[in-house]
Amino acid sequence: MIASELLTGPPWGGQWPADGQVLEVPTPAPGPHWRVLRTRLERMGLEFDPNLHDELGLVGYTLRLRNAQLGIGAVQRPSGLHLALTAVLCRGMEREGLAVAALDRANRDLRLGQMLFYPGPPAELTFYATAPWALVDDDLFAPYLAAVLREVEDVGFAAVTLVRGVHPSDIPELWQQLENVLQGLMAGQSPEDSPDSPPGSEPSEPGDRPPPAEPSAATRSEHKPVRTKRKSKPPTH
Amino acid sequence: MAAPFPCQEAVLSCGGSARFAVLGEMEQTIDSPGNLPTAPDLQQLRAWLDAAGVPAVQWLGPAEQPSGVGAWYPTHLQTLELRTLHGLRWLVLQSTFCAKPRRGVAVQPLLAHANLQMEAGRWYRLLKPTRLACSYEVPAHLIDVTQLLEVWERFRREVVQHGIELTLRTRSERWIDALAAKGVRPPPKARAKRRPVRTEVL
Repeated sequence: MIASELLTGPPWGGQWPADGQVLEVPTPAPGPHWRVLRTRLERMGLEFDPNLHDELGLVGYTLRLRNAQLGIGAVQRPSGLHLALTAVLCRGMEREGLAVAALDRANRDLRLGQMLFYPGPPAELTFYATAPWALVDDDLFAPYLAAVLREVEDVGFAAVTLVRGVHPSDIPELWQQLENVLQGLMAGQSPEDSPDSPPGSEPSEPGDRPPPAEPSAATRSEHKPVRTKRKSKPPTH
Repeated sequence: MAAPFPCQEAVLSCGGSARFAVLGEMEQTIDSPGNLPTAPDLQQLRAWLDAAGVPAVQWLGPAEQPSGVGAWYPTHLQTLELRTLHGLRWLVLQSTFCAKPRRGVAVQPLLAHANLQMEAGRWYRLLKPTRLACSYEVPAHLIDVTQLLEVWERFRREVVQHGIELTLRTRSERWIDALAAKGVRPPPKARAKRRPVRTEVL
């Protein structure tokens, strides 16, 4: 969010409240449970941020964890209010073809919650668990959260390993690498030629480069694909 | 193969069992969750299901020490168990819906799609024999009759909705039919009480 938007008003419209007044944030699940949830998280000593959707408003709290993006919030369903917990385990993966198989295996091995696969891009493996709000009170909240996280730890990361998932925290680095590749392409070089170019470096101007020389016969022959004789299969007896 | 990114390296290097940073702080809480309310036992859960008119309820496992409760619906068998996991008591609802899906390759994407649509529970594939099952777990410590019936009915609706679609799209048989072929059938219905013969002359 840019600073000018913060100065003019909240991202979902309206006005910032006066000093000392509580900010009323729109949410798809309005009610006092948000304050309850915040108190519970604070009591556990967790660091968290409100997850503010551009149109919906407050949809949950994001916990700052080392190796997962964890969201926790209240969801209003036809059957009542539910506590929902989401953990994005990886965003982007090297072996996306194995994602569905990894998902199936993880869902079979899980003893609570469920794993989801969002095709993307970028493809995501996500853990999701939900329980009726009334079944997780103040005393049960911490053990419940711990149990769910332990289950993700036991099962979820095996799926991430199988698909060679790119962790959400690595995404900025991924973008940086992609930017380097694109800059290399724009400069007319292959990405392998300049892998270590800094992310903010300007591509060299086309006029700065020397004009391409006519390829000599020697270089032409160098570029010619080398053909090798195909080996015939050994005779089978 | 070396992972290109540091976090990925961390995950790969410990064989996929990287720990949540927050878990270290929670160990104490997990191992001694404190004085939690006692979850109702299986007898109580079955009594609540019987009283609500859930059809053909029966014990699962040996009669002396049942492992859970099952209810026979026209389309599937839905079971309920109590399990202890990570220091908490959980109510585990399960149902196996489809048997021997014929479209082997297509099953996994269809399950992934069904899982995206599920609000409660997850679909997965079990092997030998191949079958598609669905599970849902909620903490059992605070469950009462209203919550139990709410969770039970919601799970039943979702299982039927996605189970029928999965059966059709994977060209499966119904697991309930496979059970019937093995001789596992719903308990016989209790006979209705005969009305006394009216003797008075109208």
